[in-house]
Amino acid sequence: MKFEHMVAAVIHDLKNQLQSLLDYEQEAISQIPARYHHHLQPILQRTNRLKNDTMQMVSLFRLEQQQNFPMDDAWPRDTASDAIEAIQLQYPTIKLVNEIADECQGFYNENLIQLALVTLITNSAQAGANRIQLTADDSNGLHITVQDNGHGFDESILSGEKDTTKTEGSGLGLFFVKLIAEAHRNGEDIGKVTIANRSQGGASVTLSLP
Amino acid sequence: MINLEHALQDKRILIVDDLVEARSSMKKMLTILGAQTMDTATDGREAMDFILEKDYDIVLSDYNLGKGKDGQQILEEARYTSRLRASSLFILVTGENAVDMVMGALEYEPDNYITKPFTLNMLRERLTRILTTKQKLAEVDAFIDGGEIDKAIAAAEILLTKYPKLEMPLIRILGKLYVRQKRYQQALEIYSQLLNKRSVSWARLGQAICIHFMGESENALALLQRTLIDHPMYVQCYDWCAIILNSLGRPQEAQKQLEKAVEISPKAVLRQMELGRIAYQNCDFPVAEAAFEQAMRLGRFSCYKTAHNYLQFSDAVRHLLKGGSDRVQKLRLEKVLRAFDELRQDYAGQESVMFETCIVEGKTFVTIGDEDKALKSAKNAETALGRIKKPDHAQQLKMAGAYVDTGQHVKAKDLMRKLKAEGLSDEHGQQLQALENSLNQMTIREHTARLNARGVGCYEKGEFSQAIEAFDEAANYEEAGISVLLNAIQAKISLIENTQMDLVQLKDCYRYFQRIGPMGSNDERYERYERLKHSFTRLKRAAGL
Repeated sequence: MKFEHMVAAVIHDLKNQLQSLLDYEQEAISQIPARYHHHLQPILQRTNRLKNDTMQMVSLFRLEQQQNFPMDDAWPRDTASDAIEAIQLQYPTIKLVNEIADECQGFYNENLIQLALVTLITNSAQAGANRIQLTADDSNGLHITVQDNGHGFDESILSGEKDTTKTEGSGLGLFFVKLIAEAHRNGEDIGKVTIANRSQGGASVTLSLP
Repeated sequence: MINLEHALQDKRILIVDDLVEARSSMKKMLTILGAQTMDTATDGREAMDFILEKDYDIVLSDYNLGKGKDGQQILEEARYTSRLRASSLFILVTGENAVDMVMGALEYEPDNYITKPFTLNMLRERLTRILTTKQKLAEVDAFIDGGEIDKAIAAAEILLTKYPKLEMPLIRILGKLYVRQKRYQQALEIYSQLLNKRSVSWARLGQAICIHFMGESENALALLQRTLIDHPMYVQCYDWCAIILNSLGRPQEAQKQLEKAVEISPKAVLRQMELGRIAYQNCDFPVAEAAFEQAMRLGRFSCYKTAHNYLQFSDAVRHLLKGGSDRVQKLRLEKVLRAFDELRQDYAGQESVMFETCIVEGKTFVTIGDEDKALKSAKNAETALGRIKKPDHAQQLKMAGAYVDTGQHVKAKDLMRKLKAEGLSDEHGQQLQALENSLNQMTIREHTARLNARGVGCYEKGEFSQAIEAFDEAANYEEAGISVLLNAIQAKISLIENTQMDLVQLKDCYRYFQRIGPMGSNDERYERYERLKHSFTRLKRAAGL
């Protein structure tokens, strides 16, 4: 067994352990009077963040290994709602708005796109946004857009000079989202990520899938 | 979209999971979502008991159920026994990395899957989507349940133009229905239509199946091999490779493909049975033994439990029993005898099974050289055959074979004469011919043994001429063994030494030595051979040759 496969197996197990830890914590909170919740909330938040990070690691490993990701019919509204559920705990004060229509449909790997959305929402939150909005359009391919009211992208990132300006965190954010987009291909068409700053302030990132 | 609470309240639901927390959490979630009638099962056996007893609208089963059956097997059995309507739902709950394998099944695929871990909201969304789609397909499912396939096809074709977003589930159903009605061209067209837009493995497998049935088996094989490069875990592709290779008369390669499939998914009973069958046919008995043993073990508590499996297993093992009384052989024999016991217990009263059991048992005893037990088995087989109302030719030929094997030549000949008079099919005719040949050989061997014994008797009394007469007659058969030839040589040498030089006898000796050929020094008859050769050379010199 190669070392990297062993690491992958360990991370995979870590992800599962963290998920059940999270379940136990949530169960515990539900049993405890509300006035004590603030003691447990930080634990819950950190567990959640670790879980999301390990999920990212697992997927990154599989993406690098060029493993096959099964794609299927999927509904962006559901995927976005799952992403919001996974991240809301971290940023309870940020308003996350899912404006994607029920019938909007795509063909992608749901777990990967959910992870991409979690990453984009995290980026927005770290950029000081307090309102993040998700929209989608399936009239010609699928485009999912995450918009926020944070400070927007630096010029160096918009021009493609740098991938990140963050000093904390993995700094993998956009790079990871790009990898996920590119794992979705159909013949010649490859998924891509478009970034921009909004005229009224804030960032806008669009994930386009064939 | 449907109202989930409303949709779930009148549904009968079965939850299958081996972990108690997972079961109760699923039940709790479903209750919150509006379900009212639910059963829970902890393993495949319990699940099948429920499914055989009640009509379920939804089965939610975990894929990995620990030791016993997995979720896929429950699905296969439920469909195989027609206990799940097309309109009911089978949903597999699985880890994300197993989705490909789970949705790879074309024969018995689940209606949908839910990946773990999931929250209440995720379950709500997923079930809402699944039930909404199912509702739109209700008309098609109803026709399938009613056996009206052409109507189901027509309905699905209309839906396909009406709801372009249902393209994937509809083409999946439609493709299978076309294939079922042998409308391969149409199936091929819709699979290709989908593949132009989306890269989905099941559509590629569907294409390959159509191409094979349309007579282009080599192209179908190539397509499957390409699909397997992208999705090496796609078990059904190996199955179809095996089917196609077999149809092309390449059973060895077919076996290799099935071995790969079994390696990936060792719990599928039908696949193990197929591997056993092909391996047996290829005379690869170790593989056949392992496959049938697995099939027996996995099928023990399932609808796939058949006497045939046990019989084929025993027959495959019999070929491996030869030689040695070491531990492995002992264990093997025990396993076979246990299989016979199980057959007698579980299929008592089924005369044809009892008959086959006695036949295979008898052959097993012949193989290990236990003549008494072999004879007993043959007698039991005879009794069982007598109880079968109209025994077919195959059964009677097996009986004749048992007679031959146990030295009951008169009975064998009578039965074979009767069968010949009735007129046999080509295949049975060939089997009869083979039996006759071996019977003839045995008769000759017995005849020569009798002649040899007579010769020995005469020789011991010093009646060398009479002894030579008997030995020569025995040696006339090409089946005569080395011992007979050595006896003849010895008698001839003794005659010359006790009377006078006889060139004819000496020449015979030379001929017999030629027939024996060179003999290795390890042979137990070597010393005797050397001694006679020495005397022969001496006599030859004395005769001036």
